[in-house]
Amino acid sequence: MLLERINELKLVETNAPDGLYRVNFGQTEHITTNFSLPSISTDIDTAEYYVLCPEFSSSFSDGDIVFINSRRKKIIGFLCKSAKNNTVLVTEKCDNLCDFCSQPPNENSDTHLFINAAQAIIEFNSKDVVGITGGEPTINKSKFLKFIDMLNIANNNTPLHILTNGRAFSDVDFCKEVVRKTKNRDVVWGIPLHGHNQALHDECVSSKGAFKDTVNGLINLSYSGAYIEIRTVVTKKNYRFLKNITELINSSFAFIPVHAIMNLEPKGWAKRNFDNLYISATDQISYIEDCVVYSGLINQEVVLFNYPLCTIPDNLRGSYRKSISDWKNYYPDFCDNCNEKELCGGFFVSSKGKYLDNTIARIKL
Amino acid sequence: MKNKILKVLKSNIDELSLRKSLYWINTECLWEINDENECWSVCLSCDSSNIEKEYMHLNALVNDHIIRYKLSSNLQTTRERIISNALSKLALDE
Amino acid sequence: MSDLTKLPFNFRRLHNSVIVSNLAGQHQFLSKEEFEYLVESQYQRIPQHILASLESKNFICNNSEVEMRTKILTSKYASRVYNSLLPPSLFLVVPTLRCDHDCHYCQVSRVSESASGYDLEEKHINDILHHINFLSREYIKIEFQGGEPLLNFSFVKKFVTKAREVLANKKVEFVIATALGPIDSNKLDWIQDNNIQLSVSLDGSELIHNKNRPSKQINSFKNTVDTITKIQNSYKNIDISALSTITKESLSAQTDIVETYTKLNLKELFIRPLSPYGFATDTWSKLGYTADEFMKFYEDTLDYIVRSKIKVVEFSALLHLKRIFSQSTTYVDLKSPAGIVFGAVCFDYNGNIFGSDESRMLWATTKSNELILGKISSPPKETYKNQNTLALLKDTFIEVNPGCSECAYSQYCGADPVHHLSTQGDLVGHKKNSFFCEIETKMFDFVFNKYYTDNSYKKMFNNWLGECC
Repeated sequence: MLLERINELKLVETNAPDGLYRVNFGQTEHITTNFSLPSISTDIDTAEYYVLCPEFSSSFSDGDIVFINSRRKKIIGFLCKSAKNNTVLVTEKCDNLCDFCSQPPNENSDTHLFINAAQAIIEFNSKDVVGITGGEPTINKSKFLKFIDMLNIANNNTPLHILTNGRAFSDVDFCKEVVRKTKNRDVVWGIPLHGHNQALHDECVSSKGAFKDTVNGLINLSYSGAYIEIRTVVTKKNYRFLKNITELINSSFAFIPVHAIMNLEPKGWAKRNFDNLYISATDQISYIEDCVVYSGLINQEVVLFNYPLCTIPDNLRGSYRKSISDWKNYYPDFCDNCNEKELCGGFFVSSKGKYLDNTIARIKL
Repeated sequence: MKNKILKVLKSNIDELSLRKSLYWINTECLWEINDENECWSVCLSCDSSNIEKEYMHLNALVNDHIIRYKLSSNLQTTRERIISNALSKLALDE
Repeated sequence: MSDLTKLPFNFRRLHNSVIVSNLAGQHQFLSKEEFEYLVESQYQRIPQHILASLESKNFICNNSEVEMRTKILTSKYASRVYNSLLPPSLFLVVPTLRCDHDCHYCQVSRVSESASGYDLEEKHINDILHHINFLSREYIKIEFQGGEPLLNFSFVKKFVTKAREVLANKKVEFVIATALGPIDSNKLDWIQDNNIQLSVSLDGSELIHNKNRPSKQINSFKNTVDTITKIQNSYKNIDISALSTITKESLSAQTDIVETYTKLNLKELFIRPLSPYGFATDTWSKLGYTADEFMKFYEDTLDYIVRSKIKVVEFSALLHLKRIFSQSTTYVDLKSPAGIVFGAVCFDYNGNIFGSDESRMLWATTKSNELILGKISSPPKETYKNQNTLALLKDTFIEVNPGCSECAYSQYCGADPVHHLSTQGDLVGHKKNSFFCEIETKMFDFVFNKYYTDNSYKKMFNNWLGECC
């Protein structure tokens, strides 16, 4: 089972069966509910189960949710207060096959993933956003609806950022149900659009009919008042059409507040197809600029994810986001003398070696 | 008042489109459409100081309406469908 | 290429170019040749990047996508109509018809300062608020008009206090449209303490302003300038905006207006043309001008702003730009459908309710009762259902108006039924003879042309849209 790891710690010994636990050092009040997870700690007196793990106390705090995997001798941070971004994987199934998929799909059963995600989110009870990702979370519509139901029944109000290809929302009834069930919760729907027409988008996601479904889904969801962030992963195939994707967004749906433009992360299939896909940030900039100008005319925000700060000119810095999670980034040698290191997210750890764009080294801003 | 005549092939434009062109002519001018089998014949009457200008204007208007007429053979039904679907959808939602 | 299909669009020729626009409110600027290729379906001759834009903006599409793109256009159009029909958020309240100025272009049938029987009585405040609460959604802007609202200051104060109580669960802004005659420190204190915005007229230099807007007791220009300065120095929290109404006099003043505004450190300028209606023919010949004359003046003014790089935002242009790029529906004069009722509702000093300021003015001169929506004293639930209002509204769908249905600007322009009713006697009018149509067409021509052919204009317009959204 693959999970988004915040921290993976070596487990020396434990009396806890495999599963999810709430970390409890006894430092904060905790009210047990019907859905409480069992507690775990390095201190026998403060929790139902104990764990022997050297870095445990420095990595986790009260209320964090961890997963014990005895067979692999690992403790995995599932939802942690100290994490900048908490994301939960609910399925590995998907009906798209994007060239650059960082989490390539499989047919593994996902029921336990949904249940664990729901339990963890309920127990964690955060007021900060938790991300929901996959695979395609809505690939099984009734499962997804039940997942939301579980959260609602437990009176959980955690804001969610849900990544979905939006295809399921082409079903008007499903869309209405989802909107109804999430009306008391802050939800941001992160929906990818990689091309301005069927030919381009379907090619990028290697799925015929994807564009039609996603567009219909965006029509239904956007006009229902949902808050949508459209995401575009930039590759050789589509970088020259970025402005056209913005034009499509603005011509076709209700107002979309955010357009996220994403530099390629060399992970999963993106690594495999890297040479066919990767286009250097420096080559993308003028096309990104066109988008930002165009979006500015209608008060739509453009955000840039996964770019090294030095590739972003001053006039686009407002869009830059230090987005690479701190547990998967690094700064290559050529960053040593950079005085903006603090502000910059660096590069993906996965881009080490042949995937590192050395042209960036030559940028002096 | 001076007169000038403009002839247009019926295959290029229908009467409605021709009238739409004439809508934009100076309202102090007079005009008359005559049916001459294969073409429309428009007789334009204006003040002698205006006639040349208005005749050129009419020419430009008719040319543009010929384009519109040509486009509308494919697009008009779609346009009307869009408007009526949109409005009936709104009516339903109430 | 041969499997591309066109979707419905309108077009308009500018100098060497053509603007196409569609029901999604999108537009594309094309050269004459690119337009011809589009019409003749010679898509391979259209530059790639233009072709891509035409596709993304739903002007053309692949044959396989026709149904989907039609659905896109339908929902987009439906949502724009829907937005236009949302409950009004602008409410005009007329505390009095009395006035201390004698503006030559006043269309309000004002009365003298001391006249009696022309004030809105305080006993009507609750009823008005009842109507406002009934009609509005979460956001409300209440604007006091007149006459001179400050001449019935006690009404204004009571109204604001009561409104804050009754409308506590909504977001309410207040504006007073005033000529500043009766202004004093007490009033300014109250205005600042209560977060009231001010909207004033500043028509240009002293000569022009006082010619347009004379007052028996004061030097209107000097009073306006002094008050603005006083506010900027000692009442910094008061939001004051100025607008400039253009008369024949103003046309000769060239850059006076911009200079007056910049001298006063005003960052926003709003140049408004006069409308011919409401005036007797000889008054119009003294005050008025042709659309061409106005546009010459307007274009010269904007040219001056661009060339001298003055940091000022001109609102007429901005409103047109907003209509073009985001089809914003906040400017009631450019709305289709409606603008009447759905744009603003006006509560007159005499207890009548009107669907716009213009209807109020037109009623004052013609007494045509079909312009009245209802009475302040009647319960809101019974009030907004009358047949005349519905008839008026159904004529405001620009897509089916002759002259408008094929216009490339129809998605950005507006139906102005009251204007046409007053100038031509019917709600639609003949657009060839419509001053409104002529000015709007020329304004859109100007804005589109400059945006796409002059980079300094494009930059300036982009900045304005970015700052002021």
